[in-house]
Amino acid sequence: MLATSRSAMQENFGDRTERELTILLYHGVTNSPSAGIENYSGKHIPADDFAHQMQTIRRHCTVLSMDDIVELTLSGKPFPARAVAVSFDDGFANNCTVAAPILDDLKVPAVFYISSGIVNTTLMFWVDELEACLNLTQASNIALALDTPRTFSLAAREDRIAALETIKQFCKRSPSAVKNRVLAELKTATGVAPAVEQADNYRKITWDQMRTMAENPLFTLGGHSLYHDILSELPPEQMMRDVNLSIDLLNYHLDRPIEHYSYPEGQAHHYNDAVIDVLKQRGIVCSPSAIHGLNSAGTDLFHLKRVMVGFLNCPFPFIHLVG
Amino acid sequence: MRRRRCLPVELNLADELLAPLEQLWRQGYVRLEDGIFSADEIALFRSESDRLMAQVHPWSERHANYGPTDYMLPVFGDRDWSVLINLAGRSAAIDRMLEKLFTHPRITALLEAIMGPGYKAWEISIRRSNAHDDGLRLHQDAQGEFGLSMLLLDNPGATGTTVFTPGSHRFPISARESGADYLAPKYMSRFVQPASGKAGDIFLFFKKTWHGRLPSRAPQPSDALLMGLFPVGYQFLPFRPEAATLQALGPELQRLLDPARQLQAVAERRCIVTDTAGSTTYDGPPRLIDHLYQPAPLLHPLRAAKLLGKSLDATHRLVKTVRAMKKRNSASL
Repeated sequence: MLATSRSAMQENFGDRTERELTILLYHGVTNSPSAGIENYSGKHIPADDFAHQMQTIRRHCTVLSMDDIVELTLSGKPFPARAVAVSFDDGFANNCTVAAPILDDLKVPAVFYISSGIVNTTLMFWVDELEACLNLTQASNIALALDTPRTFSLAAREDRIAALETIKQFCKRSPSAVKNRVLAELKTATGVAPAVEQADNYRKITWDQMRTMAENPLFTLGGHSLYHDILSELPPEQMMRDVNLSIDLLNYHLDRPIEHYSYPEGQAHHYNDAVIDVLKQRGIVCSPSAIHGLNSAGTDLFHLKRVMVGFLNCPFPFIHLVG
Repeated sequence: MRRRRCLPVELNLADELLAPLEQLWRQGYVRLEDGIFSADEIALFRSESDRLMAQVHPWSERHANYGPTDYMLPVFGDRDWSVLINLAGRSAAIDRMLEKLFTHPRITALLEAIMGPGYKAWEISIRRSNAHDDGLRLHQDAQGEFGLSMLLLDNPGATGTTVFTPGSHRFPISARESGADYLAPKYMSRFVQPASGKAGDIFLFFKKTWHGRLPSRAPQPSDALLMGLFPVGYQFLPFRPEAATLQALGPELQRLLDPARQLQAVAERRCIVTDTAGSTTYDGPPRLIDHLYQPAPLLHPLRAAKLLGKSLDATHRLVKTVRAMKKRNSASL
């Protein structure tokens, strides 16, 4: 889940990918058909596309693990040519059931940043709840109070996407209480009770799946907050509790130390020095942002940029290498 | 237009959280049906609890062989009911599910609205109401104590499960003062509502709400997970898990049960819950439970009786009935 502008995310990096580190950012990889506007944003990219992308980087790039990146950075060495790493945010079940087998077949290392409080639950992220409401409703239009009272037509697919985008953007710039109010009113207006059973892509990873992944030396598991709350917006004590418990839960269930993390939402205003301090106190060695961009050697390991792929038509940055 | 809330405090929560809190405040208990655990998890919980509850020791051993704060106690019981008093640390599978329960955002949001952050756990137990259970009289528990219970078996009826007198958490009279605790369980059914539902249903309740258990003649026992929690600033007598037991628990269970964290001794064996900075004075966001312990009468019994859904003076009759029984019994002695 991210709030970078669309145009910025579609930036073409040209030949900078030859000498700078690219960290690819995915959320999900899917082989499930989507009905209506479910996954209209491309948050979960098709398995075939993902396999082609992984084949491309395996063949033409130097694929690094996050541990490799930490080691190179701390030792002051430059990144190799066309250095690339693969990362996943949030903790969708298809990370394990669809993406991991492809990565394992191609021997591509990857890091999975998991919001540990949602593992093994039927909870949905609020953006998925919005999508489900507008996708599954029988209503042809709805009235909703955003900053002003609004009526949204839901007659055509494009109308539903436009409504979803408008409501989502309003919620992203509003306090959580307003977001909760809008979400509750949307559920009432649409008559839809969102549930993970409504789409395979909504399902969350389980601890058993994570334990299986943790056994694979290709895969690194990291934290991503407890419930995907924006860490910079939490009161200091609550932020500390969130970060600590998110790491402790991973330690407890996976029985191994956790050294990697990423910030929910991940834009510059979604984390701060206080968050980074707590992460460092807990032994976290690297926490990339979701700010769109590449990384030159020596970039601070707590301010690394990433390149979103698929989501809102963000292009795969090595598309020019695809045969 | 937002509906006016009946809660005594302003809580900045989503409607789906405010609705159960309103019901809790009105009735003294509320059922959550939204399935924290899957059917497979409930089945695993059930099979593990069956294993743990297999061997029952007589209650006479409780104080003869064990101290008041000993943690690893056997299952105690009699023909009516049996209980495994301290559950955490007995089964890795159950420990993981308890960790899930106490880190589930819906549960933590509700518990924090009720008790504020930093609450501690006193007892996490499994209670089995046996076939031919004679029940448990209406009572109230310690000041500040809050209950969380989960059915481990489907129980659509009223027997073998906890029952509550709706609204009694705000009566201006205690169960003992009213004489309600004198009423034999077989006479309680007119005044109570059962914690019935499906396996996995969770009940939150103020332990100030008059509660007990109706006699059971069901052919099968009925099991429930029962917990007592205490907020910052309230006192209880904690159990003392061994270090190895604690270290094997998940992070939130450790925090809830560790006697070395957030507890300060205030009297012989009694502790007061502190916040994470060590203060016994709660200064966090408003919490619902504090409003139960204000001196002014909170809810008139006749008004509370409406909540029973029966006659308007049900609660009044309860008090009169009990007093008459007491008088008759004392006259016959």
